[in-house]
Amino acid sequence: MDDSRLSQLATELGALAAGTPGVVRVQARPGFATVVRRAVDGLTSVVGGGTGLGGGADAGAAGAAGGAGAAGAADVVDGSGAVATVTGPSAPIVGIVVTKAETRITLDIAVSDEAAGPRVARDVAERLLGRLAVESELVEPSLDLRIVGVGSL
Amino acid sequence: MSDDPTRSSGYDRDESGPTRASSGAADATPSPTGAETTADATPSPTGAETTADAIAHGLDPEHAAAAGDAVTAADAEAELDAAVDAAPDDGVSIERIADYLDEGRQPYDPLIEDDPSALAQLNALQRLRGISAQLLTDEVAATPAPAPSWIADVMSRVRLESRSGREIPLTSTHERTTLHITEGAVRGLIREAGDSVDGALVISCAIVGDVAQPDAIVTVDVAISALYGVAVQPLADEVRDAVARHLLQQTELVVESVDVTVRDVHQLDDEADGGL
Repeated sequence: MDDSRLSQLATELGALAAGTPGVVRVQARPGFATVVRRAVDGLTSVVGGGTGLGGGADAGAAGAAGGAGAAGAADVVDGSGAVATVTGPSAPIVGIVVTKAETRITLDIAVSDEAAGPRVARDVAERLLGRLAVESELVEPSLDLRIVGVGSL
Repeated sequence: MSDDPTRSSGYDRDESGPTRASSGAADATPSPTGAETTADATPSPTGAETTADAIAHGLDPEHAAAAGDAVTAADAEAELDAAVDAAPDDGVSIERIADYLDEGRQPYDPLIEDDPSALAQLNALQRLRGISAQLLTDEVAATPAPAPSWIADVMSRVRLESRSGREIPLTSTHERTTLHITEGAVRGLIREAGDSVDGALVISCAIVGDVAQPDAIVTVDVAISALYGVAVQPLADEVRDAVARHLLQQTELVVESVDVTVRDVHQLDDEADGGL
């Protein structure tokens, strides 16, 4: 799957997560690719995970990196929309890290204080994994989700 | 659960609700007995600096102790005091957050709105101002206000506590999925629950225990300020119930007790926001 398609997928997954009942906001985890870069061998591509500024186009900016791809990944994190002009809330996005062995989806969410946080998290995971299941090109999709706020946060 | 009879505590997930309420925090000045920490308590000089720094960087007090010197659960609050001072100022400034709130959150500032820590501070400040505005219409508004730095001090604590901190695991139905709620989110939840009780304002809160371990038993310490004239024991009980209820709904923590300490009494007016 090329990076353009991965970017679209990241935005699509963000929208799916944001549309889950009980979710009040979705954001990529700041700096996630930097952490992944240190931990994962054979990194082939990373999308999302920047500041999320500037809406979907910038937020979904993709960076390809052949082989280890460390430099490419860093460029994505540091460069995705950081200097963009912002006029409103950023589009909900997720981070996607693709390696030869795994496709890792990373996202942070805030949940409504009227919902049950753990259940909302599981519902989001269910939705995203269900969507990823139809992407035959992705290897072993996995998900890393955090609740970073409750209520209006 | 704390043995200190001056604290209002009691919460057991295995029961139908908060059922183990002991005597409330009946006095604005906590008893010096037990392990209580008072408003002017100073942290233990032994290893306090190292430990406070570790806490400031997201370590729980128990782990922080490993980096510094021995710190008990009861020391956490005092250590937090020190951590507030020691914490590096590496986020959006509180002044900027206050200005943004003054402008009605317009134009949209993504550095605040997209950052959970900054957003938690924004919401806490908004609640503080709401309380202040409410009091303007009360008789107590005519009485002397606390030191101007009071709210600024509370906001310093909010700033520290709103950091992501530890990751608290949630049960996942897929082996390839990891779900967490951040400690910062839980602290924000505790604050919001406590502040939602009329007459109460959360000064600080701490989750004591190895929260990163599923099913580990933890305790929650909440220090509040009570509005002048409000009966403190029922207030503390109400705060405890609200916190316990929210924790039960939003986390999977096994909470042994929610200990509420009334540490201060406040009277606010429009000059009491510390310039914020």
